[in-house]
Order: sequence, then C-alpha cells, then structure tokens
Amino acid sequence: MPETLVHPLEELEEAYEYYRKDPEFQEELRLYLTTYAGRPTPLTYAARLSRELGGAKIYLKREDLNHTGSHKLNNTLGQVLLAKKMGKKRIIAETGAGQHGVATATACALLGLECQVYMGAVDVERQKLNVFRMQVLGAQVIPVYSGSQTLKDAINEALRDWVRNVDTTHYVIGSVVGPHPYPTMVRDFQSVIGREAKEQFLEQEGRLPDYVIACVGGGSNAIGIFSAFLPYGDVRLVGVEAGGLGLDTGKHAASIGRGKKGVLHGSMSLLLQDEFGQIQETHSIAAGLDYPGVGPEHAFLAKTGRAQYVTATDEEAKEAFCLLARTEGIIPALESAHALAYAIKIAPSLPREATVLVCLSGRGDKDVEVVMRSLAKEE
Amino acid sequence: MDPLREVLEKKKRKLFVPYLTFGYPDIASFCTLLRICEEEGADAVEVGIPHSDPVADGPVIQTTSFAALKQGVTPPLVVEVMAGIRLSIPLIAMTYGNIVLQYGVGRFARDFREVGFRGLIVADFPLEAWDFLKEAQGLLSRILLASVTSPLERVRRIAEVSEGFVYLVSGKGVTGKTEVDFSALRERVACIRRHTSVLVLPGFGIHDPHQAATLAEYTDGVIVGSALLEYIIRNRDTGTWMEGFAALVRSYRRALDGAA
Repeated sequence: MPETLVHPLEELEEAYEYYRKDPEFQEELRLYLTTYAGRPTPLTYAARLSRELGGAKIYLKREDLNHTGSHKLNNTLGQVLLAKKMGKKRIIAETGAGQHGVATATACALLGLECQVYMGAVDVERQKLNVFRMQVLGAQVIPVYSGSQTLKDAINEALRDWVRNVDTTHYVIGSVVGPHPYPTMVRDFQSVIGREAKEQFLEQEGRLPDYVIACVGGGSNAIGIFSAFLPYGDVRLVGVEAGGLGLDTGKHAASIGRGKKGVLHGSMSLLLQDEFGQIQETHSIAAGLDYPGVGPEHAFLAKTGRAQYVTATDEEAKEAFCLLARTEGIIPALESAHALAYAIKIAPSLPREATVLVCLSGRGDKDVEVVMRSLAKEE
Repeated sequence: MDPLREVLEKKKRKLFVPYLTFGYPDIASFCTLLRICEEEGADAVEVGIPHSDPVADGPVIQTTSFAALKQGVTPPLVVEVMAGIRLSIPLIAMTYGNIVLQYGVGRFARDFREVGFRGLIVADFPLEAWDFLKEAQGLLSRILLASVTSPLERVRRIAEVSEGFVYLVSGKGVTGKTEVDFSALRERVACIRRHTSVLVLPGFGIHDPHQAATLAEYTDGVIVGSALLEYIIRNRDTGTWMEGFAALVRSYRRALDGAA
C-alpha cells in the first residue's frame, strides 16, 4: 500500500478492533441484519434437484433472500455502520457487477451517508440496471476509464480517491481482498452466513454436512460460509472459481487454479499475471467472479489443503442456472451457479445419505438478460 | 553501503530529480529526454517502470504508463536499452512491488545497478514491506516514501531506515494531483532533520519552478514528474517539444540554484 494509506489503515484497524468487541455495536448491527436485511436467511433442502441427480442431498443457504438480493449487504451494513461510528461523512466503494455497489448504496441510504461508487466503464455499460439502482438509492456512480476499465481498475481509482479524502471518507471494500484489516473485517461480517448455516443444518439434518461448496471471485461468501466449518476436518470445503471458456483458453478467472504468488491492492496472494508481474484481464460470464486475485485466506486454505479449489466453466454455470430454476423455482446468480455446478457434478456419484451444502450467494434476476442472450446465440 | 547517497551528497547544491516514464513517448525519444535531463542540470533521473495497476499515480503518469506498456515495455527491455546508454548522473527506478518481486529482487538490483541505476522506489511498499527488498541492499539504495499524513513518530522511523533520501509526499493525493501542504511538509522536514542527516526530497504535485524553489529552501531539492510529462503529452505533436522540454528542465535548475 502507498505510504499515504498506512496511517488511515491503522486507524481503521484500531476502530474495528474496538467496535468488534463493543456489545452495543454488535447489537445495533444484529438489529439491522434481522429487522432490515431479513436475516436469518433460510436453509432450503433442494429435494427435486437432489432427486433428479440421484445422489447426495443438496441444501442451499439462501443468501439470495437477503435484502438487495445477495450476501453483499452483510458486509456493507457492518462497514457503513463502522464508518458512521468513526465519524466519516462519505463512503466510497468499487463495484464490478454492481451487487456490492447496490449493497453499499443501500446501507448509505439507510444510515444517511453520502455515497460514491467507482465502476469500470466497461462494467457500467454491461450492468446498466444496477447503475440505475445505485442512482435511485442516491449514490453517484463514477465510471473508470483507466486500465482495463473493469473491477480492478475501479479498486485502483477508489484507492486514489481515498488517498485524497481520507479524513472524511471510508472506503468499503466488497470482498476479502485489499490491505489489512479488510480481509479479516469482511470475513467477520460475512461469517454470519456460516454461523446460521451450521446451526440450521444441525437442526435439519442432526449433523454437519459432508461438503460445503461456494463460488470464489475475491471469495467473501465462501470465507463467510467456510468460517463456521473450518474447525471440523470431516467437512470438506470446496471453492469454485470461474473457469470461463476453459482454463487452457486463458479466458477465465481462476486465480488459485492458474495464478502465481504476487502483490496487488495491498495484499499478497495468488494473482493472474504475466511473467513480468503485469496483472492480466480475466473472463467470466459472472461479472462478480471477474477479478484477477483472490483473498489471501483462500490462498492459504488452498496451500494447507484445508479447502479444495476447483473451477466451473461459463457453460456449466449456465446449465446449473437453468436446472435450479426448473427443479426448485429458484433463479440463482451466475456467480452462485458456479458453486451449484460443482455440486451437480459430484452429487450423482455420492451415496444418498451424503449431504452437500451450497452457498447460494445471490439471486439471478440481474443475470437473466445475459443468459437469455447467451442461450439465443447457441441456437 | 548507500550507493545513491554517496553520489548525491557530492553535489553540494539543491537537487533536481525529474521523473520520466521509461519508453514514453517512445523508446528513442525517451533516451533523448534522458540526455536532455543530464545536460540541463538534473542531479539524478527517476525512471518509471510501468505497471498495469499504478494505484499511487494520477492521470498523467497513468497515461504514460499505459502507453509504455502498450509498446511492450518490460523490465528486461529497460535493462537492454539502458545498457546502451551511459550517463554521468545516477538513475532511480520507480515502480510497484509486484514488478520487482516477479523479476526477483536480487536479480533486479544486480541487473539495474549494472546499467546505471543506484536507487529503487517501490510506490506500494511502505516501511512494513522493507524486508521484501533485502536482496537489493548495497546495490540499489532503497528509498522510502514518507507522507504529510504520516504521524511524526512514523516519519522518524522512516527517515532512520530510508537509503539515498527520504521521498516526502507533499500532500494528500496521487502523483500530479496533489495540493502541496506546506505546513505539514515543513513540520515533517524539521522532524527528519532533528533525528537524522538523511537527504529529504519532496515530490507529488510540484508543478512550477517557483514552487520548487520555495520548497527547496528547507529541503534538499525536489522531484518533478507529472508536470514534465504533461508538457510532453500536450506538446509532442509540435516540432519543437524537445527544445521546450529542455527549457522547462533548465527553468527548474535555475530556480533551484537561485534558492540555494
């Protein structure tokens, strides 16, 4: 991180350490999560999907039913509330697909803070509906024209803004990436997914799941759901990265699958980069997985083998998207469809008493157009 | 042990350190610009090795960096080109951590030292990342940035460790887009002077010779980047931009000599 941000990051860490242990803050956040966001989100047994696959029982943690349609709000409520306690007046955020931007704009509207969202110009064009949603929520969306004009460039520009306005402004990072304390803080705010899911699973099945599967871009929903199961070695944790058009085509976003160790945005992790250290452009049908890095904790879990990381291609994600809609009446986000795709792949070969918990991180309304266009192209 | 400081301390004048992005506007012109800097009285030249994600840089250096990358600039190419140029003033590489890490810190230091570099600035490696640069020790002076937003106690620690000089970021912001915070800057210079004898050069947002001279009254000189590159971006379609660039460098030199 540039020197100018070191001190503000230390201040943030200090404030976070304080409020993390402050029962009043935690109670306030809990109230917003329950009375506003709609938590706890349900755990759904996907009976028809499981039957159709003819193997393991598949359960879905329904983050798609969280307010704004994804798990992103868990983090933005926490961070915006923290920023308010720190006396900040203005919030900035980056967004790729727009889900984090919408969740940030929502939390700012709720808590009465000014909000500006940086978004790559290419993404602004691809995600017009979410741009409008943010504007309706009172946020200003600033298109970023530098670099590849996508998520990583939006992060760069948000960091540059933060350097200039650090006294008044808090930067809400949307995933478990970036400099310390972000990966830890975002994990903590997302760990509510895992805590609820574990309790609900025990209640419905009387034991822990055999598999916990989540999609991984930066990796916030995955860390959130994994966190509760980490201590239980028998629970297999699987992160699913975006395989795009296939790993050998170079058009994917599999930072763990194909990345190399490096430094980006203030953390050391696995990155998709060329031999000279330039960050490469990524591809995924799911804009939310389109990031050339991955949270450092995922890189660590991959290295130690505690979690396993696989990929699902655009094609597999699309099939999962359609299959879930047809069998369960749930249209998943294309990001979450990657996790589902892997569950669909392994379930048939697992015994009937085996259980698989999938983090359904978001709903797919935002993606119907993309899928429609893509299916039309195939015909 | 401190290859750059040795050279700079012999200068006995206010230091002028221009910044150029390697390969901008093209490799041949860049080499001419280096010569102009040398002839017009620069004491060292900071050479930007472009990165795809220059988070500490404003629009001007972003533009020149992306243009250089498009032309295929890589660290090995920098070494190759610089091997053919011998200058009487030292070069300082300014880049981002991932570029140096992927090249290999020790190899980077050896190769760049070999072709005229004596210093290294890694824009996104603060004091906490110092250990990453261990293998450059003795080959390239590892220059740390301090900022007007860094608390004084931190500035002191940075000044104690930094080699070559302390690069003092003159305001809140990215390169080229910073308003100089004179009082905070002055306070930090005083703090550094109290505790060490290291050279202090402010940079970021310095855009005219008069301002440079004012700053040099209580520092050891200035670093100027975006203002020079912006001149090139605006004028490179004219036939006389090289002469204009030379005059600009000269004007900084004269202003600084006046300040001494």
